Amino acid sequence: MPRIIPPASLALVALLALAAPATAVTGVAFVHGTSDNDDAENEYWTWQFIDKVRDGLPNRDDFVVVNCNFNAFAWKNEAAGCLATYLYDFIQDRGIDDMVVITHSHGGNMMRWILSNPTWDSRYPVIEEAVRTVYALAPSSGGTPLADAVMDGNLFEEALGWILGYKSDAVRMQMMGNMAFLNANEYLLGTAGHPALPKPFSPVVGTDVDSAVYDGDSYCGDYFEQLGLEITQLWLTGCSDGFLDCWSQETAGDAPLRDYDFTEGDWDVWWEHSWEPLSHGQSRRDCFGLAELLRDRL
Amino acid sequence: MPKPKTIFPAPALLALVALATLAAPSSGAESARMISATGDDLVVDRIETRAAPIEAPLGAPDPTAVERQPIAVSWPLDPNRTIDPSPRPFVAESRSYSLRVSADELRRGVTVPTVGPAAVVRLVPVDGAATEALDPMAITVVDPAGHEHPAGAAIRLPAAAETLRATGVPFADGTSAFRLAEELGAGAFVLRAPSLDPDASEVLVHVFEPESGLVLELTTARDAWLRGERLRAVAELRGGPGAELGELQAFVVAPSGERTPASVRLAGPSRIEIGAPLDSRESMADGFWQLVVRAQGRWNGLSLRRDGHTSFGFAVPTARLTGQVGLVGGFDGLAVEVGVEAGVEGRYEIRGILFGTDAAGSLRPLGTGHSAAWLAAGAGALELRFDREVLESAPLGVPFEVRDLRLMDQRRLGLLHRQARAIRVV
Repeated sequence: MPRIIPPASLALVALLALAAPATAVTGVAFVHGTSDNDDAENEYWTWQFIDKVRDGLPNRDDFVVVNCNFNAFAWKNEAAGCLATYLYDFIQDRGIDDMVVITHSHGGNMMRWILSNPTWDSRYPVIEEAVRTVYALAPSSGGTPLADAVMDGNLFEEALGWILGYKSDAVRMQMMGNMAFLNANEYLLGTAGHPALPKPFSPVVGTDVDSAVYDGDSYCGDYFEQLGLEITQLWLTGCSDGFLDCWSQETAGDAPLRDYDFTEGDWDVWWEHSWEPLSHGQSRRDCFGLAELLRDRL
Repeated sequence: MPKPKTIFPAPALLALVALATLAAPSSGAESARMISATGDDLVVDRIETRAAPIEAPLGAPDPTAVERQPIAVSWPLDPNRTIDPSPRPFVAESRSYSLRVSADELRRGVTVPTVGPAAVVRLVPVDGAATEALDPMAITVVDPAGHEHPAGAAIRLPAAAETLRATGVPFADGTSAFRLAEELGAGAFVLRAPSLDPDASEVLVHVFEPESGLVLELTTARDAWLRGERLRAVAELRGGPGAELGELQAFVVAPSGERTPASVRLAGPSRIEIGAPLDSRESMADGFWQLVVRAQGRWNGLSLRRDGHTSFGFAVPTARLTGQVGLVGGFDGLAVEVGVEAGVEGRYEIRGILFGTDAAGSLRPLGTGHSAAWLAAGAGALELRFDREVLESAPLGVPFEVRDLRLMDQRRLGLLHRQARAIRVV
């Protein structure tokens, strides 16, 4: 259903525009979330989303879609090491010196790993220098109680070992206690009380889930996904995108942008702007003006 | 935002170390000394000479697998940013528990105690095979008052395995979920899956009580521990006056899944003190360490169950700070050499936050510096560098102080030293 916000909130959008250097070669990188991808273009993002975002580039070919194994812990070579290879090669091959990185979900943690640990790999400082900003779509910066729920039982049932619901080290990493440890001990920077990241990290935050069968907006993305998110929200607080609490999405970085700040609802009248919540799945799809927002910031 | 960086070859590092007694002219600093650690700091007093191997063998074909170049990086911080160098351990909260039952038991009926209404139940077949018998709308319920509700009648928000899988949340294969009808209240429910094949896989029954005020809180005394120490932790039931704990179980789970029993002691009707030896050599690079507690008790005449888990950091003490520090000359900025004694060769990292003094005499954050290098076993040093751009980013000067100083066994993710106030530079 459309949501209403006062027009004053729209001013926030204007404050977040970042300008590229005048002579820069601008590029955009798409960094997926938890998954072991080999076709993130089709299976994770969709070309509809990618194409609309890269319309904002001076050269539409200056983009890269990352395909890595983010089921592994961030520090493993197949995870952040693979991400570094994509970004480093992208920078070198196309002469990119003004890179906007768009991450989704756990992909935000992968990018934070690279920016937080510049001495880990001699390519990391090169990547950091080329980054203009990171737009972190629904980042799992504080973890999620759903990861803890998935792991419940595995921890107690010795005979099950690490098998049940344990296909992914990413799930373990996104347990709330583990993310709290990584954040507090500066393996991942940018949270309150700790040093800022060397480059801007701007969360884009989903605040709710619509799954009403009579509401066409529920069908942007995948309706069946929306249905299940209604029950997963029971593990979460009142403000969540069905997978992550708002506080988790806003744990790291600055100037979070919430869905009601920019999404477009079905109807507007001159005194009100309508908006739509971005569920966790919708925040990587061409839903409610998200792609246009990112396009306009390249 | 400019971020200076330096990747320097090892011979250059050694040459710079040799100049350590010279002052750095651009910082205005003349000397540096180590501040004594306090009881809240993490300090290695005894190093070990054996540790888990790092991720890739030395000389691996992929040169990026284990970085060998020394790298130093620094960047400015907003002087108004609040820095809190005293990490507090995570406080885990639990309103849930799980039971492992046979298919035949679930077919005949499993008792599920609750202390709050509208519990959320997940049914997880251990073999991961989804079955219509575990579809929420096939589940019959006997409520705490003894009334039997036919299949699906006491079920709310049913999510069959297919629906739950579509969320992208990585629940185990075959998992279904539902909520018990709120109007049925709290107490002991009996759940039945009457069409379940008695020879089918065992089932984990997870019960989550989001509406219950009774929470099991679990926290370790510190968030980071070293091999040879004894883990200390406390679990406490909150939100239920008069709640009493009875049967208790606790253990430590290593990254490999290996479990070590922990000792538990009732320190009050609803409080448990936990202790466990930490003598593993497993590396955090392979995963996290968990403390797990399973508790049963009673509250308000009802049976109560809670399972809790929390995380903590663990490291084999492969290196330590020697306490020797000195300014490094010839660097365009401020560079401090920090003495390190390594028991195992590896890539070690030091990082710290440089505070400078403002016109009013207060120390405020100026920048953060990270430096890593490959060190052989024995005496060595790492050089913490803050570039000129950091020093010039705000009107802050001597005396400087390096706070939140950390020594890490980088590739084993081992946090070896953490000191809130560490180096004074005047």
